[in-house]
Amino acid sequence: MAERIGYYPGCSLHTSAREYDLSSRAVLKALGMDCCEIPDWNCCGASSAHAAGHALTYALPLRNLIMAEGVGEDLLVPCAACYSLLRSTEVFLAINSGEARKLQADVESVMGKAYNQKVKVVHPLDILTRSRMLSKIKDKISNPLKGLKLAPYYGCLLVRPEIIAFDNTEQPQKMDILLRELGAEVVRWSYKTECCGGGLGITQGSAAAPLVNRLVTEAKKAGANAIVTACPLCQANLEGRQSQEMPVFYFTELVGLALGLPESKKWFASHLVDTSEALAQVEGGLSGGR
Amino acid sequence: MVLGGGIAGMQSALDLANGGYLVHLVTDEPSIGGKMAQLDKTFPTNECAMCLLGPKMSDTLSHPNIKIHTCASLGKVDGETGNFRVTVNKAPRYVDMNECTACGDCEQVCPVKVEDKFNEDMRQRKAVYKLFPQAVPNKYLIDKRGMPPCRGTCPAGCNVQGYVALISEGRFGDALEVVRRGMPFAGICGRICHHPCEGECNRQDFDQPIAIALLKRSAADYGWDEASEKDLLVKKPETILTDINGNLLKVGIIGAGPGGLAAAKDLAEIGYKVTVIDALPEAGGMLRAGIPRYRLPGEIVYREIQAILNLGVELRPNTLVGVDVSLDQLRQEFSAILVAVGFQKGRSLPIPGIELKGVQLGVEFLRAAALGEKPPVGKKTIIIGGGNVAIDTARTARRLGAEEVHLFCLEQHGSMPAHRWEVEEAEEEGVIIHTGWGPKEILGKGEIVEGVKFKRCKQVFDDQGRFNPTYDEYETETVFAGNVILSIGQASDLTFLDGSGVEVSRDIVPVNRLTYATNAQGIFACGDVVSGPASVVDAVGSAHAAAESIHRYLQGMDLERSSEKPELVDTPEGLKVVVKDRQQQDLLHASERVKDFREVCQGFTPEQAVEEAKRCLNCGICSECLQCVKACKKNAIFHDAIPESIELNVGAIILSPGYEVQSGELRGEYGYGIYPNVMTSLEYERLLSSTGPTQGHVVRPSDHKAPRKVAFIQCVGSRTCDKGAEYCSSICCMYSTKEAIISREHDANIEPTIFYLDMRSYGKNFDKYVKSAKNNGVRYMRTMISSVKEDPVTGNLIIKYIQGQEIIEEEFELVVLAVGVKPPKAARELAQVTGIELNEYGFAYTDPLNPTKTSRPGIFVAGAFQGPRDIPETVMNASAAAAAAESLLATGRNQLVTPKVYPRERDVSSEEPKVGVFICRCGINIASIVDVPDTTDYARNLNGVVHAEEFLYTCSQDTVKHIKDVINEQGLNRIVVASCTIRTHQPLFREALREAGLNQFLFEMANIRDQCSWVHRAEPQRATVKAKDLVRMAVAKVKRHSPLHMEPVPVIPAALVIGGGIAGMTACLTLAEQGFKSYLVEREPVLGGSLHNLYFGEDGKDAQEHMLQVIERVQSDPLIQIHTNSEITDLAGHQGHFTTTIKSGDLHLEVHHGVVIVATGGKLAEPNPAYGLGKDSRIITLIQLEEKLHTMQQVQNGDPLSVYQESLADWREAALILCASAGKELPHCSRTCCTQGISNAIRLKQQNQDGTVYVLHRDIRTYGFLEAYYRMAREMGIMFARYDGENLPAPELGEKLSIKVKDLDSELEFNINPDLLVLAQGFEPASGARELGTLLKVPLNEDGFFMETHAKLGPMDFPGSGLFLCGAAHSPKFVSEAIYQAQGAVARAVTILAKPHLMVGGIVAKAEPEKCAACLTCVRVCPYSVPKIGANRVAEIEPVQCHGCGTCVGECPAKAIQLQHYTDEQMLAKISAVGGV
Repeated sequence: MAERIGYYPGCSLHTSAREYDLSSRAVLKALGMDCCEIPDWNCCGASSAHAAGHALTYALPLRNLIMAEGVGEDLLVPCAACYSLLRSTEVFLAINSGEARKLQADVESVMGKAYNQKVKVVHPLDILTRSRMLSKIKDKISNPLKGLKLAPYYGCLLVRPEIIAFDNTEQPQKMDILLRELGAEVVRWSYKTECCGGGLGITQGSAAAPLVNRLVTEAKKAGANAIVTACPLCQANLEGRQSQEMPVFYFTELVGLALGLPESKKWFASHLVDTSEALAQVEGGLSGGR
Repeated sequence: MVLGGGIAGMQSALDLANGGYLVHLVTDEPSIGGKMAQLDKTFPTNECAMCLLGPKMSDTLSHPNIKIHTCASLGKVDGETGNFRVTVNKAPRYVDMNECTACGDCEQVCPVKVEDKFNEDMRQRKAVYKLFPQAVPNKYLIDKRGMPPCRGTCPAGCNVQGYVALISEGRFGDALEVVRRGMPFAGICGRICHHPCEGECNRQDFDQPIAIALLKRSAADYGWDEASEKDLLVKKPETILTDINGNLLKVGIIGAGPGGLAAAKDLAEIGYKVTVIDALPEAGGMLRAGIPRYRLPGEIVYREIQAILNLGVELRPNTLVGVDVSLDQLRQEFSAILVAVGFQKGRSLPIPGIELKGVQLGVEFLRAAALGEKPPVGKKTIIIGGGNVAIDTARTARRLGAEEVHLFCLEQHGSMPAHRWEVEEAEEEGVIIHTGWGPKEILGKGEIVEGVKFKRCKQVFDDQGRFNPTYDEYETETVFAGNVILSIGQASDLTFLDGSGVEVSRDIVPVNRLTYATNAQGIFACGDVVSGPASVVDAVGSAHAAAESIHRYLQGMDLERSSEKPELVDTPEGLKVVVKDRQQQDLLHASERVKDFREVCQGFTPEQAVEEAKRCLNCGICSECLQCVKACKKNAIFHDAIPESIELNVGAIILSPGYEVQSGELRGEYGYGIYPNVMTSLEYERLLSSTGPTQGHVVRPSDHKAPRKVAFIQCVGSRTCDKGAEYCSSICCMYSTKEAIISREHDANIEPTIFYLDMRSYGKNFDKYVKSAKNNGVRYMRTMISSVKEDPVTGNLIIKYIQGQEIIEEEFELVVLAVGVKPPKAARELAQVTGIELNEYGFAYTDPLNPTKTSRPGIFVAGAFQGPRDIPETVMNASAAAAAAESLLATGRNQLVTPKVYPRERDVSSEEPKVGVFICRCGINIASIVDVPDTTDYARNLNGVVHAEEFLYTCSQDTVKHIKDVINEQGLNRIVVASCTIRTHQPLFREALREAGLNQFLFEMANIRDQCSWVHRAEPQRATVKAKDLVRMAVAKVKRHSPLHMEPVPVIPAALVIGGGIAGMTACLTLAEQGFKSYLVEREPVLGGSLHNLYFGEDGKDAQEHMLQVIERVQSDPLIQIHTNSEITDLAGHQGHFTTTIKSGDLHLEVHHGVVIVATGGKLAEPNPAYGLGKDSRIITLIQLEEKLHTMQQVQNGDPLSVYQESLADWREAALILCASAGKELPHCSRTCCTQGISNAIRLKQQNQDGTVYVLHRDIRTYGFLEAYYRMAREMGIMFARYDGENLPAPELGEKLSIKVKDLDSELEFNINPDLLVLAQGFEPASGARELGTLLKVPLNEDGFFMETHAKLGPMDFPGSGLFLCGAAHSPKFVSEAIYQAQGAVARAVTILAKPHLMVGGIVAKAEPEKCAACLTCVRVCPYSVPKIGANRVAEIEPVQCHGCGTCVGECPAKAIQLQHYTDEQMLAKISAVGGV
């Protein structure tokens, strides 16, 4: 019996980051978890709401948390920005300050539904790197990514702020561990949590471009064939603003590939950068991409 | 009791012991020395830390009143002050401290290498080790963690970690010996064991388990010949055991399989006469007649059995018990019998056709094949069964010519009972496996088998997990073949036990599973007959237990014994594991394999075995391979030592457990632990040390190349609110400065840069030290570092920082993190055990006015346990704690220390020299290089030598006793020991002379180890020549030795204390508490000194109130004689007895005292005139501000005495200028002003929260916990602006005060108009200090403060004996610091005052008046100012004062001075002996 887990796709996973959506669901399914999208979810407000008003910062995510209750014990949030905000909201409410109590009461009265602190917000990277899952993955790998050199990129939101971090905030390791388990080689680089400028990607592209190119250059210098991320904004920004043809994978795509999920080939087709050269590094010769 | 063996613990212990108390020094480390031992150099003196520490450690060790307890911790503290009962738990060292000579032989042979914590894991040490080369006590110990899972899991108890460790060093022979202790069939089990150990190996958490079984095979394959040569295979018993009548004790074993033989070996090794009876023609059981040869070659079996028979075990082959001999007969013959016949029969099935010809049983088929009988196989053969025997059968059939082998089993592929690898190999060889089938019937044509009809097996086990197959009778398959072999299980044949009284139940012999005794007296059983079919290793395991029971039975002991299994340890904590795949052995190709019975698995090559063994994580640390036991010629090693608990009765307790350093990982952004070239300061300290991992070469970890650019990042884990500690760690600025300077001394190409926030060089001479660093090429950058990045190609590190408005990225080759100080690991536990309180940071809580006292009476603290501090502060603190304990126990002084009584000294003046020479082999340390017998013969023939003898260890207790006996028997009157060094061993031998009634100075040592065998390893012959030279020289000198005697000089138990400030008063009070009289001389009319200028203590409490209390106590103490308005005009005499003239007005008074304590303090410096003090009423000093604030506080508190009511609240803008006495440069740091200034700025701001307070500063030096003031001030909104000497923030006077402020941190310029400007004055030495220095003949530093003997270890001592120093006369300090230094000075003084008399003489300089020309050379060169031109106009050297350094002897132009024991005559004799023969 597959275990049910709540699933919050946020706005990007149904649009620009479809491959992240598909690969996350497919991988979890292969590992015995059934992702159930929560009903009538709304934008979490990650990129802009907090600028519009303090109350909105937590109010929008709280509505989602309330909607998620009853779907599953955990609420899986693949987008790093959504995750950071939803999880921060969960923690904020758990601490139960006067401000939190007021917000909760307001949202509850608008929705006519209570918040019971029943849902635990989790990120797929956190789930997949728990020891039980890791050994499950280990057993199921049919397509080890031997020969592939990867630069794990956590970005700025996935493990920050510290109060919500499921990994070391300055030197996160979990993606490294997961990718190594898949058989890939993980390069040592210093830019794991350096900002890619994704937040300015649309409003001020000229500020983001040098940040992106620095990251790609450094990943190349470290010997990587590709960058691996867990954030739709980073992925789009990193693939879209560089001129160096370095593909940027979602880590879930690579897990799916290593598990030999047949649909994995389709995901790579939607990348902006051709992934075939990088994937050709895998010993035994996988091929993907456009 | 003193807890902690660091510098604090040693200082407290020495002061107490010298003050007449018995001290128990308890440390959880194996050596004393503490953190200082890890340091390379000390600041600001750049001296070798170990060289300073060495003598201190030696003094501690050799002090008769200090008992050192190493590896010990506090269990319980009962009782109360003056009478504590302390439980001390001592962990075993496993090496006898009395016997160990630190020869290092054990370390040489120990195969286990683990990370060396002392070297911060940057190199490896052995499991048997010394903490560091100069460890004190200089004894080895063994590091054990417990039972590793491999060893604990092995049914035979085979010591896996032990032999794996030996293999890692390529020592296959020794490894084999270790294997065979638990597993006599190393080569066999190495091939066929199912190795449950590998399943438990901790390494699999990281990659894959160690290939344990294959390593065992390697030990047997490559170690057999070596072990055989070294006679390690056959361990003949020490005695042959007999019964009371002298008859041999005989044991009969039925069955020569692995169980029977293993038991035979155990029993034969103990000394029993063992006979093994077997039905087959040869021994081995299933080993020989069951397991196919391609898995287990016959010669391996043969030689391992033979090694057992070689013990004298008798084999009776071809003897079937029950047929050839009856059990009763055997019971007659043997005192005990072991039944180990195993499961020899194959099981059959009750199905149709089973009786047909061509149907065989697997076990019998294999036995026939193994014995070379070539059992018949068809071209096509069917095997039924899914276990290992079935697989063996199938593969054997292939080899015997069956072209098509079909194996049918009930189970599905993944759940076959056979090992996965066996199945795979069979398939490779072409065996076709059909899973999920059970035989329905065997088909035949007449009597001959034709095939098998199978039915589908639906389920093998039922719901209860029992074997209970269910079939689908309708799904069948028929296979035709000419041969069918059933391998579905084995059975035993126990018919010989029928009627014997031995109980048999369902094929097995029931036994007590602990003792393996059957129900019949004297009959035991083991192996498969007890357990059902199992493995070789299980059989051997049960055989060990049965053999031990038989031994117990025959010795009349209780058979029952503890069955407690030790807990298995996991991976050592914090172990860094580098992923490395397990080695793979070669297999013969399948096409080759089926041709014959050649061995399939090729095993490891020796190189592979070593590589594989190196993967072992050494989970147990010590592997108990027992190589050390063999190597130790002193038999000093006891692996079964257990922890012990002792109870001590003590009057007072001093806790000085030291500190820990913060982890470099606290600040992840610096990449420590990720980037190899980022290290902590303590690691760097080891890198600089000559005893460190690189012998002092500065190379970076990633590529071992010398770095050029090295960055130091300060405040890692200090002065931070979220990661690490809020306080300042006090020492890092200085140690980084030192490390930077020393780096450049090691390698002038290094360019160090120190990134810091504030330079906290607040201690004595620290600013000068930083200045010298700057002059020597150390770059200081004041900036916070936000992250360190690594260049993945070069491994260089990129540091980004802001300089001015610019962001700079600079590349370095090495980054050193200045990690801060945190409380010791055991702090919480210690607080719990002792019941003392900790402060908010987890350090011991103390009151600043009583700085060593904890919250529990009778328990004191010293050193860094109280808070971060450097070495001199620690020493002061430790002496202070000693003084506090002494005060408490004043009445008990000298009661527990009993002087030793020696025999009367023999007068040898009329005797001719009769020299005895004792030469040490030092294990193999000397003897393996120097020809010791030859040297001894040589010594025997030297002129004057009447006795020469060599010893394995001259320093061992029995040898020392022997020397004493020889002295008396032969009437020797001069002794030479040729061994190691006088530094450590001279006291021992001198003591022996005294005990033998000889004067201790009639002794000489020749160092033929450190100075000969150790340094001339490559040239043994010439080393022997040199050893003879050294012995000859020693003999030449000792013949001219004459007895020297120490003379007692009485001590006057009183002190002169100069200066009536807080330090002087505290000194007097502390002396009085201990019962000593003091004369307190104060120039001013009132006591109190600089305290008159202090209104708030560093803790914010009222300082004036405290001052008045102290003055009151001093004045009312009858033991303190106060002389105010007085000065010293003359001081004469020596330690123990000084005579001083005190001038009070016109009166002159002469007083006599044993010691002098200088506590003259200092005074406030004038503010720089640029700040306009006195020109404007708005400009005041910090003292004036404090006085006003104090008054206001008293008004607010409603104190009626206070009438002064000037309001301070009407200011709008206030500014405080720190370092206001200084000009362009700071002469020295006055230490207290930052804290005093900021705390008053806080008070000011509290008075008027709307006002703005500016603090204008150079550096903020709120060190230690004082940092809290700085933080609080910033949080309150007090504005800090940094200026430098080039731009003093001088005010423009006028209607408004106007100061142009240029803040160096923000680079902002702005104007302020304070209506209150406060100047923080500096602090300088008291006027007249220089004159007093001349009078006392003690030196001053360039700032005019008194100079102590040694900046680190002698902060309260003057070079001249009997003179001590404390308080601000030493350097500026807080009240609490002055208090503990004063207490400390008393502890130092008491080491003299506590003695009724001082022993004087011995090795001192003696002037010959007739030769002296009174040229003053000696007076000038003596570092201790001892020689004087006396009344006779010739040089006089007071033996009480002389340190025996010999400087004057060398300089005296008239050769009028001789150093006793090193006279010209003695030295010349020694030197001329170099050339002579």
